[in-house]
Amino acid sequence: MTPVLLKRRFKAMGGPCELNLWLDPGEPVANQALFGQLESELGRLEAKYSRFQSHSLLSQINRGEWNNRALDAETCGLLNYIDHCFDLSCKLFDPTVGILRRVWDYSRSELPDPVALGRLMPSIGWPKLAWTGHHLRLLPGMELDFGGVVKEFAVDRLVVILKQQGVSGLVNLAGDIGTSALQPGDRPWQVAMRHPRHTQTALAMLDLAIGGLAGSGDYERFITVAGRRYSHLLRPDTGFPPVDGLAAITVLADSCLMAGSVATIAMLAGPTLAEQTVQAWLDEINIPYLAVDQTLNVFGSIKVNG
Amino acid sequence: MNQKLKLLAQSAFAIPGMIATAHAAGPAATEAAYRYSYYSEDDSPAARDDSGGAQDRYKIQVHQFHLLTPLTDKLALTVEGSYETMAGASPVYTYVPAGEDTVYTHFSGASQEQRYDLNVSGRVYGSTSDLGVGAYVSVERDYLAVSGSVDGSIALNDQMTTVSGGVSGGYDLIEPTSAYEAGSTAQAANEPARFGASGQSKWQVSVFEGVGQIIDMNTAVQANLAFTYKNGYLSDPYRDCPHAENVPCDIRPSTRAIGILGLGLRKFLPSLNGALHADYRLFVDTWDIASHTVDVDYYQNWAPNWRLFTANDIKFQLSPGIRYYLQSSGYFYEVPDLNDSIGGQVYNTDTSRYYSSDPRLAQYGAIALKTRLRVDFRQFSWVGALERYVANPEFGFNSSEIPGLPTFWRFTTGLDYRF
Repeated sequence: MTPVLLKRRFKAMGGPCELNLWLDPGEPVANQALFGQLESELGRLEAKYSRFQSHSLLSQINRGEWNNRALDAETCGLLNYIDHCFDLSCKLFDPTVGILRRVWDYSRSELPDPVALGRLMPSIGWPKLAWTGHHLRLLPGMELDFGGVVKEFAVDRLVVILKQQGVSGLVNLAGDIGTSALQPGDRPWQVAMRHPRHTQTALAMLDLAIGGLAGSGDYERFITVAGRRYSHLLRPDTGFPPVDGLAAITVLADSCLMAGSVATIAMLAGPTLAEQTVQAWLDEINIPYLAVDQTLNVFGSIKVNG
Repeated sequence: MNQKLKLLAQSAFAIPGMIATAHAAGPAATEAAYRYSYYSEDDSPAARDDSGGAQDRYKIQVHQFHLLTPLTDKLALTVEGSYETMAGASPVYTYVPAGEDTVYTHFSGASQEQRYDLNVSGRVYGSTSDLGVGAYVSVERDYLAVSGSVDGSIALNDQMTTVSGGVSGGYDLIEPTSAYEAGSTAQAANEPARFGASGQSKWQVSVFEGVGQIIDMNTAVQANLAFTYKNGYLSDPYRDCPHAENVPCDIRPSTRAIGILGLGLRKFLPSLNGALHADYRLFVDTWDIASHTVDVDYYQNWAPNWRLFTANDIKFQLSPGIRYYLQSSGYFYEVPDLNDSIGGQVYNTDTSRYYSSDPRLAQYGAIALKTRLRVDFRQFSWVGALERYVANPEFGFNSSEIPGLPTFWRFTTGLDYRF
């Protein structure tokens, strides 16, 4: 039977999720099993890396229960990847920065108390965890956060399952997107890039063949104080969002994980990274992207449909 | 792809579960490798050499080239070639001379010889399976070998189990007399084995089947069975000696059936960031030879968390290992005692029985100590390895002397490049 596009929407990892799969409508049991397998993999990762679940591996790590103990291969792989991003970003991509949420309250238009912020700053710094490739040692007061990698990794894991089943599909976990194959007829998937100042409208429509897409922007969570926007993207060196950085960026890559981390690094950088402009840095690593600066000037290497 | 992005991709796709076809994905990058090996046998024992002094035994130098390149995301081509030079004396026959009661070996020195070989194979990768075909040719002055193979594997049970299998066939042609004169009675008398072996051939077929099972994230086991059947000229044409009357000094059966069972364990030790590899191999054949090989290697990984090393993706792996080998004697292995034969002739025109004094067919044991260092630097890997191998009948619970058994050093170094 000719495949049809079946959709499933649900909530996971703290946000709306959508699965769009081209499936044979004559195989409802198999289709149901596949949706179940995808949701179950998502549930596994959420249970393992959620900072809200006290039994999660991440919570155990943050309680110091895994200090100097060998972590499993998947977690080691993620931490090695984070370690790589830390170097690539000139120390901006730091998984210990999540502790700052204790002083940044995005429900009130107030900047954090400088004294409270200053007290937390010594607890930030990925190198302090002495990651060896298999072990780490969390110092008292420090906290590890897989935000910025786990959702993107989850997208890639679901895409892997789809590829193994030979299914063409698009996985969308709260804006982090991955596709397993072109749509029937070799058609690319169409994905909207959100306008950073009019978030209900699309700035551009992008073609996505096979791979990952992730975006980041200062519109996701922010406060405005004295006419200035402070986003949720916090730098480990200042404890503040970047100044004069990008308003939004969308990145395409072989995996959603790579797209997400490059987008995060570009957003954290502010105007410059590695002694060059962010635009020059993005052009140098030669990854497809579309960015919007604070003056709403759009630039990048992705071909835009409209 | 930009180098920074390439390294980021490597880091991302190194996370378990990031690749859809972890067991059967086609290679994503081209690999080129070069290996140089120097193999040097210890001098023959002077006291057991019938020339009266120690002789330089085999020295072999091997240059190997390897290229693996993906043609598409599901098809890869591998081309391997090697060039080998060898020189030195090798044991030609072992015997007890008249008037003596101890075993002596006669060595014959070979001038420098060369060998070239080429192996070309292609492999198709499916989502959980792969299928490969290969062709091989090896050329020496006196030897030509060709073979072909088909093999494949499939991952089952959510890729926790891998079943593999294959068949191969080969044909060898021997021309041990450089200036062969058909019908020459002088040649037939002087070098009966070489003369008789001229233009001889053998063929062989092999089938194998293997199963690999992942037990948990740190443990995998594997087992494989192989069966080989050889038919044709299986004797050693260079084992001519003056103690046989116009007949070869080495006559072996023209068929040989071999069965091999292999068992392996791979255990990753997270607390040490190391891995233990243990393998056992049982070999049995219709020549009554049974051998047991136990190989234990430990791989210690070390990735210094220092800026210079992390920035350049420098990692080390040191792997010491030990191998023990024990074999029983072939049923036609014998060391002729010239004290028992009139005129020093131990073999006569009766070629219907099999005999050989080749030390490799004796009961003996061997121990090899190995150490290997691998250094990864970005997309390069340097490898250096040293092996000391000592064969001794006492290691195989045999009190007889077998002076022709080799003892050698082998040094290997090389460079891999992925791009």
